[in-house]
Amino acid sequence: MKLLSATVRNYRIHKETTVSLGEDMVLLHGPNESGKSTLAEAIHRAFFLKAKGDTSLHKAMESRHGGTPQVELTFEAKGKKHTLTKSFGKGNKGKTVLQIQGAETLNEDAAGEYMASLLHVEGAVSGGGIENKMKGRWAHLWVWQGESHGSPLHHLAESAQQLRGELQRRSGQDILSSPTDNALIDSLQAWAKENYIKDKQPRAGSPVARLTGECEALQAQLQAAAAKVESLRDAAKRYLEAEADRIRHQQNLETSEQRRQQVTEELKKVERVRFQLERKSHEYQNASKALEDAEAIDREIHSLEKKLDSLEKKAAPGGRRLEALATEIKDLRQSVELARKEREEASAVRDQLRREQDLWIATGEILKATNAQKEAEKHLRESRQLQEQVKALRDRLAPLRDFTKEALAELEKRERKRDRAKLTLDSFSMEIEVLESEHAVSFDGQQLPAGSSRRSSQTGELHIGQNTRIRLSPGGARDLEEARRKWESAGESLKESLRQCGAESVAQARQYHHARESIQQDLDKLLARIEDKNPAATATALDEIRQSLLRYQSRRRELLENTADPGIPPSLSEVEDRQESLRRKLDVAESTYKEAQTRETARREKLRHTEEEYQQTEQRRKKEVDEIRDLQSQRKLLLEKNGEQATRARKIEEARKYRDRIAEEEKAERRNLQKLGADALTIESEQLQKAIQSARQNLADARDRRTRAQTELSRSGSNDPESERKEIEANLQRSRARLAALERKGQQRLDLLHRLEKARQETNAAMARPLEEAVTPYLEILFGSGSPRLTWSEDGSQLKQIEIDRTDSSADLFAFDRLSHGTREQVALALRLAVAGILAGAHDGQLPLVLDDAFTHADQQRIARLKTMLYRASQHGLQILLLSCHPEHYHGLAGKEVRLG
Amino acid sequence: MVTTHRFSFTKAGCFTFYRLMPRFLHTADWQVGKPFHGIEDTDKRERLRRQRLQTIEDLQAIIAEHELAFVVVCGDLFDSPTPDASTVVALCAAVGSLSVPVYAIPGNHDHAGPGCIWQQPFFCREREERAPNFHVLLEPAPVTLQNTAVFLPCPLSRRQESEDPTAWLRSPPNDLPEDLPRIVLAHGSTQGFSSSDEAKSPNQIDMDLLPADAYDYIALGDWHGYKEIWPKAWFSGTPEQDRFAKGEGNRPGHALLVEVPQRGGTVSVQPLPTGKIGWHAPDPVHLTGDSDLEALREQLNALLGNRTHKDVLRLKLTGALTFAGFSKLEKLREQWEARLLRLQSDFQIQLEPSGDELEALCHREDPLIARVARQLREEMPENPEAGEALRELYLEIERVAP
Repeated sequence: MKLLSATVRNYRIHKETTVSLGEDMVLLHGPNESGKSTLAEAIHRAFFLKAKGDTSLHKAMESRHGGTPQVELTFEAKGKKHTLTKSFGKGNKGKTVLQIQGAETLNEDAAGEYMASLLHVEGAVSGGGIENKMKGRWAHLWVWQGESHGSPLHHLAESAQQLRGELQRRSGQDILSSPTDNALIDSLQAWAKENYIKDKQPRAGSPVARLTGECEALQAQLQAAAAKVESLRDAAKRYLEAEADRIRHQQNLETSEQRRQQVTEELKKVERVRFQLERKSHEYQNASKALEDAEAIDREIHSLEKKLDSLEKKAAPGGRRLEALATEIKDLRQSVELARKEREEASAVRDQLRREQDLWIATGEILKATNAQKEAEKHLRESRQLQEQVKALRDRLAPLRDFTKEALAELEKRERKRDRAKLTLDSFSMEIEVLESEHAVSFDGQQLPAGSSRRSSQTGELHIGQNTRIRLSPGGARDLEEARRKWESAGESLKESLRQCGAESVAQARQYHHARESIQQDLDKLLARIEDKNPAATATALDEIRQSLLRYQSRRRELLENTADPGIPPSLSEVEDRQESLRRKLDVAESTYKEAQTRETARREKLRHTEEEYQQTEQRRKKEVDEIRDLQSQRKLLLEKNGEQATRARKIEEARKYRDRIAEEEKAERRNLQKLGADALTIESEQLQKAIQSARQNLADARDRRTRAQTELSRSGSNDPESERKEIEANLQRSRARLAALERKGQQRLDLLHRLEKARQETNAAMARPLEEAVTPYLEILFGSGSPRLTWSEDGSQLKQIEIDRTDSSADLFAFDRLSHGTREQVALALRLAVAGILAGAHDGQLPLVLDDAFTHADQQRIARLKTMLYRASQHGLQILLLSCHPEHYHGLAGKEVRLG
Repeated sequence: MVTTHRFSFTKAGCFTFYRLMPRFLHTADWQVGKPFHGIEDTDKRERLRRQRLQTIEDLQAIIAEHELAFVVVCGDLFDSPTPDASTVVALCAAVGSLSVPVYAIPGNHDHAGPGCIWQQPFFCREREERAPNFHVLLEPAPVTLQNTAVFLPCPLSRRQESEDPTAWLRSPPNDLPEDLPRIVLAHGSTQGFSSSDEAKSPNQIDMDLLPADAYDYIALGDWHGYKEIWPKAWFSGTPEQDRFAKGEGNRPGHALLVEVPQRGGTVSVQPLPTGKIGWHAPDPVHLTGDSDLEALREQLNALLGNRTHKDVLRLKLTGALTFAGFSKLEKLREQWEARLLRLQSDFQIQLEPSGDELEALCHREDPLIARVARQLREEMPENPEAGEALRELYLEIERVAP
C-alpha cells in the first residue's frame, strides 16, 4: 500500500487541505499549529475509524469552519489506485465511499469490509473504548507525537498474529504454541512449583518431601525396633550364657570342695609328721648347741692358757726397767738442787748490783734536775725584766698612737691639696703694668701711674682718662671664684685634720710620726726577746723539773733504806763514771745468772722426763699384772667347772654322737613328709581355697546375670517387638517403593516439562530470528554494529522483550528500558522499520510509516544516521511520512517536501 | 476292624474313659498373629489374622465329627517368639474353644528358651484361665497320656537349632510303656522339605537316624503343605494358608486326621481341608495387545467367583499395551485391589502405543506437544523411559484437555 494523496476538509483547523504524498519519502513540515499532526490523524481515522458515529473522536474532528469533516485518501494497493472518501458524523452524515480503479465503487459496509481486508484489521473501529482501540490500530506504523521513545513491542498486539504468521513463514517454524501447549506447560509448571524447588529438590510439604521424611522416620523407628529385638535376643543369649556359666561354676565349686576335703585329710597327716619333724629339729638344734658349747669351752680354756703364758713372758722386762728409772730419778733430783743453789747465788749478786746502779742513776737524775731548775728560774727572771721595759715603751707610745703612717700620709695629702689650690688661685690673677700713659690710669679706683703695675685676681675696671673704661676679668670670673673656694676649703680641711690629731702643723705631725716609729721598733724587739724566752713554757718546764726531782729523791731514799748513803757527788761526771762501772759489773752478774738458770732448767727437764717414763712404765706393769691375775682367775674357774683336758674331751665326744643320732631321726621324718607331698598339698589347698572362692563368686555372678537377663526377658506381653519391627520394615519398604515411584514419575514429568519448555524456547527463538535479522541492519547504521535479542512471551502471544547486543561495548545485553531516552527513540524506530518491512509483505510489499515529530531527542549526528535508516527503509518497501516543524534537520533526506500553513 | 470305645473328656483334660486306638488331629504352623505386613490395608491385614484364629476354632467341627481324642500341634503356633498380649489371649481362647486336649511343642517361630512366650507369666495366666486343655511340651522327655499314648516331644529351644531336635530319640528312651502308641512331635525340615529357602537350613531332622519301629507316628511341623515323608511320618501343613504355596503338590490349608490303632500298628492318615482364604498364583499372563485384557479379566473373574476379601492374588503380566490398554489395565488393577485381600502384582508391560496414538500425539495441532512427542517417539527404541514419558504426556493431555 502506498499513499498517493490526502485531502482534508472541515477537519479541525483544515478547511480544505490537499497534500500529495506519492513518493517513498515525504517530509511534511510547517510551523506549529499548521495542522501536520491533524493531517496525520485524519489519514489514520480515514483508514480505521467508522464514518458513522458520534463519539468523542467524531466530535473532536469538527472544524470551526463548519461542515462535515471529510477525508479523502488516494492510495495504491494490489496494483490498483484507490480513492477512499470518509465523511464523519452521525446518521447520514457518516459516509464511506471507496473507488477502486477499474472496479465498481464500494460504499459503507462494503467499503469498510474491503478496507478491513486490505488493511488486515477487524473492520472499522466503533463502540466503547474507541480511543484506545484507535490508538492500537497500526500503532507500530503510526508514531504519534511524543510517543517515539516507547517500546514498539507494546504496540504490536494488534499485529502480533500477522507478524507471527509472517515470521513463521520466514523461519519455517510452526506457530509458537497452542493454548493446549501452554495449558499443559502451565499445569506442569504449577505442579513443579508445588513440588520442587531449584535443582529438582523436593519442596517442603510436597508428597516427595513428605514421603522422604516418612521414610527417614520409619528408618529411625526400624532401628529402634531392631535394637529392641536385638536387645531381647541379646538378653536371651546372655541368659543362656549365664546359665551355662552357672552350671559350669556350680560343677567347679562342687569338684573343688570335694578335692579340698581330701586334701584337708592328707594335710592333717602332714601336720602330724611335721610336728614330729619339728620336734626332732628342735632336739637336733639343742644337741648341736651342746656340742658347740663344749667345744667352745675347751677352745676357750686353751686360749686362756696360751694368752697367760704370753702375758707373763711379756711382763718380766718391765720390772727391771722400773727399778733403773727410780735410781736415775734420785740422782737427777740431787743435781737439780745443786743447780738451783748456784742460780740463787748468782741472782743475789746481780740484784745487789742492780740496786746500786739504780741508786746512782737516781743520784744522776737529781743532779740533772737541780741544774735544770736553776736555769729555768734564771730565764723567768729575765722575762719579767723585759716585760717591764715593754710596759715603759708602751707608755711612751700611747700619746703618739694616732700618728700613724696612714694619718701622716692623709695630712700630707691634704696639705698638698691646699698648696695646689693656692697655686691654681695664683695662676688666675692678672698683672697690670702701666708702661707709659698720657691719661690717668686707674684700676678699681686705684690709680695706676705709668710704670706701675697691679696684680689682681678679681674683676675690675680700668679707667684711662675720662672716657676710657675697661673691665678686666682675670680668667673667667666664675673659675676664679671656684679656685678660691677650693683653696679655702682645702685649708679648712687641713686645719681640721691637724686639730684632730693634735699637731700644730704637718711638720710637727711628721716629727711625731718619726718618734712613734722609733718607739714601736724598740717595743717589737723587746717583745721578740720575750717570745724567745717563752716564760709560760719555762714555767711549765720548771714545774715538771721540780716534780722529777722529787720523784728521784724519793727513789734514792728507797734505795738507801738497806744501804749506806754514799752521798751525792757534786759533779755529774763523777756520777756517770760510777754508773758506768756498775753497768759493767752488772753485765757480768747477769751472764753468770743466766748460765746457772740454764743449767738448772736442763736438769729439771731431764728429771721430769725420767719421772714420766717411770710413771708410764709403772702403769703398764700394773695393767699386765692385773690381766695376768684375771686370766689366772678365769682359767681356774673354767677348770673347776669343766674339768681338765681329758674330762672335757670325753664330754665333747658324747655330745657329738648324740647330735648325729638326732640328725638321722630328723632326716627320716623329713623323708616321711616328702613322701606325703606336703608342699604340693599345701599349694593345692591354697589353690583350691581360691578356686572355691572364685567359683562361688563366679556362681553368684552367673546367677546375677541370669536373673538380670531373665528380668529383661520377662515382658508384660503388651507388645510384640519382632512384629513391630517387621511392620515398620514393611511400612518402610512400601514408603520407599511409593517414594521411588513418585520420584520416578516426578522425574518423568519434570523431563516432560523441560522438553516442552525447551521446545517453546527454541520455537520462540527461531520465530524471533527473522525479525532480529531485519532489525540488525538498522542498528548497524545507528551504532556501527550490534544486534537485537527479541523474546516472545512464554505463551508466544506477543513479543515481550527487546535487548540490544552492543558488540562495541564491553557491557552485556542492554534491555530496552535501560537505554537512554534518545537511544530508545532510535532503537524503537529501527524495530518499527523492521516490523513494517516484514509486515509489508502482506501489503504488496509496501506500507506507509508515519513519524510525527519522532526524533526530538536525537542530536545532529544521530539524525544523520536516522535519515540513512529512513532512506534504507524507503528503499525496502516503506513509504515514510515524516512530520516535523524543523525541516532544516532533514536536509538531504532525499524525499519530497510538503509545506503546510 | 475298628473297635470303638466310649470316652468323655472334660475341660480339665481328664479322661474318664479312653479308647485304645487313639484318633487325633495333627496340625501345625498356625502362626497366629502373623502380621501380613506386606498388605498395606490394615483392615485386610486384620481379616487375614482373624481368619487364622477362626480356622483353629473351626477345627472343633472336625474334632466333634470324628470324635477325636486330642490335637497335636507341631510348632509355630505363634508367628512370633514375642507375640503381643492380644494375640496370646486370642490363641488361648481359640485353643480353649476346642473340646479336646491340645498338645503342642514350640517351633522355630515360637521357640522355647529363656524368656520364651511359653514361660511368660502373662501366657501362663491366660492358658490357665482360657485354655486348661492346652499343654505345651517344652522338654524333650516322654509324656504319657494315661492309657492313650506316649508323646515324645522335640521342642525347639531356639529359632535356629543346629542340632537335630529328634536326636534324643535316635535311641528309644527307657521305660516307655510297651502298650501305648508312641507319637513323636517335631518341628523342622526333613531332607527336601524345608520352609526355609536356604539350601542348608537349620532345625534339620534326619529321619533316617530314627529307629523306624520305635515310634508309631511322627507328627511334623514347619512345611506348610501336608506331606507324607513316611507312611507314619507326616507334615500336616498349616490349616490356613499364609503364603503362596511353593512348588508342585504343596497343599496348605489342611489338617491331618490320624489314627494309630495300637503300638506297632499301621497308621491311618487322612488330610482334611481347613483353609478358607484362597491364595492364587496363576501362571504369568502374556498380553499380546489390548484385546487380551478382556480375557484376563474373565479369567480372574472365573478364579475368584463372587468372593470378596477372601483371596490373595499374585499376578504377573508381561507383554505390551497401548496407551489406552495401559489405562484400562490401571483401572482393572484398581478394581482387583479393592476386591482382593491383596494383589501382588508384577506387571512387566511394555508401552507400545498404537500407530494412531502416536500419530495423534505427534501431529497434534499443539506444536510443542507434537514436537516433544516426536522427540520421544524417536528416542523410544533406545530409551525405554521415553515410552513412559510419552505415556505421561498422553495422560497429562487427558487431564488438561480431556
